[in-house]
Amino acid sequence: MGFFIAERVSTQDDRTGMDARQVSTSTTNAVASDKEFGQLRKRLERLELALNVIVDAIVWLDEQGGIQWCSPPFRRLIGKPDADIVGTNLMELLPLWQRGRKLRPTAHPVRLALDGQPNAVGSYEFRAGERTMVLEVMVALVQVSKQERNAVVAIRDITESKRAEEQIKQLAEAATTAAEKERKRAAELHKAYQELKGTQALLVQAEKMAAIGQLASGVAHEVKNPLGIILQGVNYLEAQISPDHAQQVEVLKMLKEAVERADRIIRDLLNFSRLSPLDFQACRMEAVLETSLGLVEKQLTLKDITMTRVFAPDLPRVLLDENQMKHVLINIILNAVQAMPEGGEMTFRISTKPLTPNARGTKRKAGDVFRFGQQALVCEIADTGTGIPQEVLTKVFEPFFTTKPAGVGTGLGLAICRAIVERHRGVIEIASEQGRGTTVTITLPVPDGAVLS
Amino acid sequence: MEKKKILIIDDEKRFGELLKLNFELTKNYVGLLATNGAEGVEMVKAHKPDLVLLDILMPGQNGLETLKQIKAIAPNLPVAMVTAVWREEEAKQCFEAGAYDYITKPVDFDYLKQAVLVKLL
Repeated sequence: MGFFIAERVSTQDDRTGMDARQVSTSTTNAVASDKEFGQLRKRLERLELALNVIVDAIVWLDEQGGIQWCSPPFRRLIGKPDADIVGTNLMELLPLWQRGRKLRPTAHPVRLALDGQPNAVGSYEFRAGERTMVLEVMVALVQVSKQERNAVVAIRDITESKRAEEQIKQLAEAATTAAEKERKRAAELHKAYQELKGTQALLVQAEKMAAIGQLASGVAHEVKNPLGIILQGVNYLEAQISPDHAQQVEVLKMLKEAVERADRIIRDLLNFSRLSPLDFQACRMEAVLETSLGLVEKQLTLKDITMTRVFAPDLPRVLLDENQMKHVLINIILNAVQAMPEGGEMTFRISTKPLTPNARGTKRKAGDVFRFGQQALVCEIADTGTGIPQEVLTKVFEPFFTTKPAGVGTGLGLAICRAIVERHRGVIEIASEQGRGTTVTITLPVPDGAVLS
Repeated sequence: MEKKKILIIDDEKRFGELLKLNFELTKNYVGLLATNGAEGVEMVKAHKPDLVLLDILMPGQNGLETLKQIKAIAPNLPVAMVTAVWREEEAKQCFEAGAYDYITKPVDFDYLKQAVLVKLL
């Protein structure tokens, strides 16, 4: 809709704005007969009626924007009688706003249209008292004569449809926001579910450990007594058999080894049930590590394993049960030794770091184990051994999981290590790459106000 | 050299019997056997052993109680506890009551012999 220039208004009927007599005189310069006059009058009345009925306001302007005639809806829009309207400049009578700002008279769409700019059609705001209306303004230029050009302005109140449109937009936006919220919630739920699953796995693990502990303490007595009998029996036979009977001696040796193996399993299991309180002392992890290394050093040198120590300066003390932590460290070191039958290199790194929400190990039992921002002592033990396949890596801390041949391992070593580290409120993790080596990381909380060095 | 008398108090009769056999094989010891605490205390009174190997977990009167009774009769009689499971609190109580050792089963006889020897040399 909107902008067009009628080259010439050719018929009388189209020039509806003027007084009928004027129309006839100005357009035809001839005196109409009474009959013709009556017909014209009738036509004009109908046109006026039509313009009154049509909701759009129509205004006839001269080239300067002066109002020559307006339809009744315009009077209703402005709220003034005809006498106050005709002769007035439309730009003054109908100031328009766009995006909350009042348009300068030179930027008024009607002005622009009169100046021949074709982009002068659109919706504008109009403030009628308290009320802000949205008007769609269309301008048609009318070439009245060679010299004179007028304009017909059609104004439609689109406040309601705009409002409806706005409401629809808001509803659509609200719907989009709601959908977005739902998606976010779903994502959060999924995350929470994953975390819960992780926690559940940990709980199951913890329950498994507790059950093993209970079972172990329950059956230990019942198993160790018969083992005691067997061993005394073997000792008796050993004393009776002459050393010449090599085969019998060998059989007894095997029996004895079997008893020791069974006993070791029971003892390992009991380590779970022994929830004797940890004897915490403020210790230097590097010193505990050195003591542990001292106990197994011979095995390392025998296997041609070199050791590198990278200890950060001014390491804080941490609360440790030295004996139990030694158990953990020795276990890890011996595992590394077994992974390097041809020799290799072991690197021991101890450092501190502040824990951030993304720091490794902070997710498990978050808040329970570490507070974010708390200092942690990180002890890494790396080897250049065979490495551990991914599918095995996830199970190494599970009780009874072992890759060693029957009789060599009980599958409790690392499970016990983890239990011990967790009772220190720490986290033990393992990373490995096949053919390149394995790194075990123990992260321990540094007590608040820990004295450096 | 006169044979030393070792009293074994253990409700596991077969364990006691084999232990007695092993001691007697060495020719230096005589083994005495009791399968409960009360019987053990009576045998301490009657036979005046040189050393007692005492189990802890027994039906009726337990090893700790038995130990206390033995120590009341013969304060200088060396008593070593021989039990299946090492329990820290229990071990502490036994040492406080006068036991000189706390050994867990299964135990190699060679080790046990050493443990006995330290008190009978």
